[in-house]
Amino acid sequence: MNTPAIQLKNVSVRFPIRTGILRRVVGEVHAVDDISFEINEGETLGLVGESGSGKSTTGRALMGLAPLTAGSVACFGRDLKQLKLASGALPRISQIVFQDPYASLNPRMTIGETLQEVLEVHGLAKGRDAKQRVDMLLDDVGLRRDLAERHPHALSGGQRQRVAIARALAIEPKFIVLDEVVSALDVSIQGQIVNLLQDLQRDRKLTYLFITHDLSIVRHVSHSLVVMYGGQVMEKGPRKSIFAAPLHPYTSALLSAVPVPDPKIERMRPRIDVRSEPPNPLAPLTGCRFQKSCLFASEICRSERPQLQSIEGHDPQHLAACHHMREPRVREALSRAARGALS
Amino acid sequence: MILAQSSPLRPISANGPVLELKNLGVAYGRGAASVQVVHDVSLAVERGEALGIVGESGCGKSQTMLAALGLLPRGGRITSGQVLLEGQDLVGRSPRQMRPVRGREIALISQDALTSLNPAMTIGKQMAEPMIHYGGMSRSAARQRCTELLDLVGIPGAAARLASYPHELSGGMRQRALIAMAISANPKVLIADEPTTALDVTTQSQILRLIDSLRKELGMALILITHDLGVVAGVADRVAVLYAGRVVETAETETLFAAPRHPYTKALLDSIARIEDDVAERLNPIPGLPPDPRNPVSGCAFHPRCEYSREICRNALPILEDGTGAQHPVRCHVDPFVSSSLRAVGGAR
Amino acid sequence: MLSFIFNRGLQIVPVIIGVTLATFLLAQIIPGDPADVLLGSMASEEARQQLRVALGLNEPIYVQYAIYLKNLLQGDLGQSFTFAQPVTQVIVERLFNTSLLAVAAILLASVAGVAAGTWAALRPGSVRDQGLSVIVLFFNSMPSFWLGLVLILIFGLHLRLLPIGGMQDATGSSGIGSLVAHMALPTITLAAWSLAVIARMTRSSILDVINSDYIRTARSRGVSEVRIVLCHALPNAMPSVITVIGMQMGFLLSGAVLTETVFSWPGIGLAMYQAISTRDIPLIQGGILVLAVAFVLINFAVDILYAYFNPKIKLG
Ligand SMILES: Nc1ncnc2c1ncn2[C@@H]1O[C@H](COP(=O)(O)OP(=O)(O)OP(=O)(O)O)[C@@H](O)[C@H]1O
Ligand SMILES: Nc1ncnc2c1ncn2[C@@H]1O[C@H](COP(=O)(O)OP(=O)(O)OP(=O)(O)O)[C@@H](O)[C@H]1O
Ligand code: SF4
Ligand code: SF4
Ligand SMILES: [Mg+2]
Ligand SMILES: [Mg+2]
Repeated sequence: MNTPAIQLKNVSVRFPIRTGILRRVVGEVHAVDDISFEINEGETLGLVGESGSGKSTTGRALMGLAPLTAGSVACFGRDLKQLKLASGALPRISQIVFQDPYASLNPRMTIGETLQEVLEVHGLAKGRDAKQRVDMLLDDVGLRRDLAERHPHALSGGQRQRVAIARALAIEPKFIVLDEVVSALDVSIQGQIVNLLQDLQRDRKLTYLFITHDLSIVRHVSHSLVVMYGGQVMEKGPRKSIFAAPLHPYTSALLSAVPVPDPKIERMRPRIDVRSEPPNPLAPLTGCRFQKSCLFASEICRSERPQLQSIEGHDPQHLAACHHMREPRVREALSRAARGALS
Repeated sequence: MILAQSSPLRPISANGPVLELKNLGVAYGRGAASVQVVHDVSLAVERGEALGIVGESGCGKSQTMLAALGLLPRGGRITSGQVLLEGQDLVGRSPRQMRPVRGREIALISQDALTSLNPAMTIGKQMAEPMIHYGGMSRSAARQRCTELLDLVGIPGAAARLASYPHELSGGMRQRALIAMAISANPKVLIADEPTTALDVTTQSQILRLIDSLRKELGMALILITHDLGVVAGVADRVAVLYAGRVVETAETETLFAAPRHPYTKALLDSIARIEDDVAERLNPIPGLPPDPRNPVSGCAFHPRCEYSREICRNALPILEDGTGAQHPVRCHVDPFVSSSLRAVGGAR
Repeated sequence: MLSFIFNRGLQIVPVIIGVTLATFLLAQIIPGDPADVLLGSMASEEARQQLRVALGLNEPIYVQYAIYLKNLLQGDLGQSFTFAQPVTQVIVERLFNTSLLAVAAILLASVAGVAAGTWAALRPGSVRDQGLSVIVLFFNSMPSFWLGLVLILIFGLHLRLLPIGGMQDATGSSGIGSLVAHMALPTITLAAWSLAVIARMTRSSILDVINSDYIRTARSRGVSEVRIVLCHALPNAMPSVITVIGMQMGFLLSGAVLTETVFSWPGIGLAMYQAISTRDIPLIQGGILVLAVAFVLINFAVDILYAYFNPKIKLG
């Protein structure tokens, strides 16, 4: 088997918390805690989890934008640290697109100027040449060429997101982190962007990390899935296997919470309750991070951190971290909830 | 151009609606700069009923409801129509006359939970304010009531939370506190404007169930505004679909999802990524963009994006009419063609 | 909150050290030999030399600074020859008079300014609102000494209602009434400009805040318009108003110098004015130091008030 395009090994990211006039470090935010996963070339990995679970931090770490406290990242066989040292090497390989493209586009520059600047900074094209490339980029993302003359405020949310994608594509990266790129858009427009991303992936063999809290979208775009909670991976594996039978109580709760746009199903289906107690990243729990909200939590869940494991009868690449996932009563409850969500 | 008056919705039962909007219009600015953002909207809710209002961003959902409460921001005004609360028209009432209605008869959970609480006041103080100053409650009675309310909406440690400032609560807790404030005076009508947009799915599902159970317990009429059809599917009895400031279709929830009659409703339903779809298939977004009220589209506002559009659609505004008499009015010229068979033809998957 | 006050207080120390350094250096860069100034140009070389040694002027500059600081800590700011008194004594006597005037003025400006701004914000665009704008413009475009003169002319000379200078009647009956009467004109003169600025700021911050989502929430719950402005909008507008009040206090200190000279009010301003015209360097130094420290302390107080009205900062 060929080596994966992106590989994270035991990655942790902690942010120091400082206070006082001396800026003393009084604690740490455990934003990402010992996570590992890989993405195959030309595929999309969906990264889901609740707010504050460390999704964006993971994406930023992959871009060298958040410091690795521990672990290593390899991009296309090369170590992230080396890539960071070689100036300009990392952006040529990977790019990131954010939820709010408005905040990341310079309001005083026209769309054309923004794109042209990116090309020139990276020495990819100059002058006339660059102008032509800008036109081609706009074609690629399905925007009319005359929009190059406009400023970001004169575009709709969907159009701005296309510009942000065009800017990422300008450098012809092999890997793009997409952080909640459709979350702020109307349902009716979301599909336009998702389809565009899929077309681009097919044509250019792009690799995506697709960060979102919308499981329905993830189901459409991703080949594999990572579910995070409290900075750790709860479950990961091929999309098909996870949606067919989630192994982890949190994944199951997540699935059963997605509203289904069909009143008959939506009203009847069973749900797994999540007690509302979000994890505190300042004082991470020992044992399972999900214990406070889990219906099946027991003594061992509070003392021992469950390891990612596969389960007989499922895809061997489908892993989950739960002490009780093999027990029939748990399997029964989870599959009932999953059936409700997916029927 | 033919501008037809839409007929107001007929009340569904003998009780009559608690709140009824008749031909409501809202505009911003004056003279040549005037922009009509809501046109001729008629809606009604009955006691205990849940009405969903769906539509794309900017279609006028929030402005309609703010107008009903007389809360349009500076520059906005009601250009036509009536807002009937148990038959009494609220349009044209002075702020002083509106005050007893707000909160006590019609309560609002406004769109952005994160900024809708006063950052300089404790939760308890904000909650208790109308109870003490307009409800004639003593401080201790109000405190008691606030604790009960926070308990009811599932905020743990309610009594202690009264002393918290909004920034000390998580997004989900702030949303709950807002709900608690809205139901504090047992209103007859609760308007919830995108109550879950800022929240993640697990919190969203808890909040929706909370609102729904409160409605049933307290017998309130609920108007739930959202752009997420999944949210509406679980809660609403009836749904009104808005497009470009106009109601384009209203129906019982099940009917609307099973047999939409308006091309826009159908396109909206088809555009959703569905969790139950098994393969990574292509999504069917609606092409183009929602119209900008500053550059109104002639005829049917949906015609530039509509796959069924014809010559007449560009020139004449269709009427909202209930041709079949099945409590399913729709605003479309080619409705007979569209009806029921639409989903079978286009929606096969 | 206490730790916030403490932390913020610690930050003041380096600033105050900087101020002492600045006033110390001020004396160094003023041209002329201090011995000349103190003894007059007719004094003998010997006498000068003696004085130099006595003042430590022949020591290296950092030793001089250390001496200066040491004296400062002992409350010794040198000798003022204009008043033939220790500078400390001159300043302490007059600081009270200046504070009296400044505090009265800032109280008047804040209370009347916030009240006028709030009153205008209750009905934006109304006659009262536009009237306020005109008054604000009038006060803001008029130099304070000119206003002082006009007031003297009208109330003092024409209507003969109020005394036009000094602090109290020289004649025995100097009760509190006389003090207030003497204070009235200088206080109004000093407060006018700040009052206008504060009123304008209050009005515009309330109108900014009034478009917030939480104001809409309060309205949707039937809270009356008066309560909305007073209990919801005003507290949230206060942080920016307080910042402006704090800045005004700074201006007020400098404004006091002018006002005191116009009304012969026996404060630091008048003393400084006299010191500058006679090149009384120790007094100038002392005056600047005291004014600067007052300025820093005022800002400290403003920060604490600011945090009080803005609960998010309290945590920080
Ligand atoms: N620069 C930083 N300094 C300190 N803490 C940080 C920093 N960036 C993120 N965090 C913390 O790390 C945790 C994970 O944040 P992250 O943004 O990765 O979450 P997320 O999963 O993307 O959430 P969301 O869905 O809300 O975007 C949070 O508790 C956050 O407060
Ligand atoms: N203060 C205002 N001045 C001028 N136009 C406004 C104002 N507020 C809203 N509008 C316009 O009114 C139209 C309807 O806005 P409204 O807030 O009702 O949309 P909405 O359906 O609630 O959308 P969303 O889902 O984004 O909340 C929009 O086109 C908007 O631009
Ligand atoms: S390990 Fe325990 S607490 Fe964690 S998910 Fe499994 S059952 Fe729940
Ligand atoms: S009236 Fe015409 S354009 Fe409008 S929805 Fe019907 S078919 Fe489409
Ligand atoms: Mg994020
Ligand atoms: Mg809205």
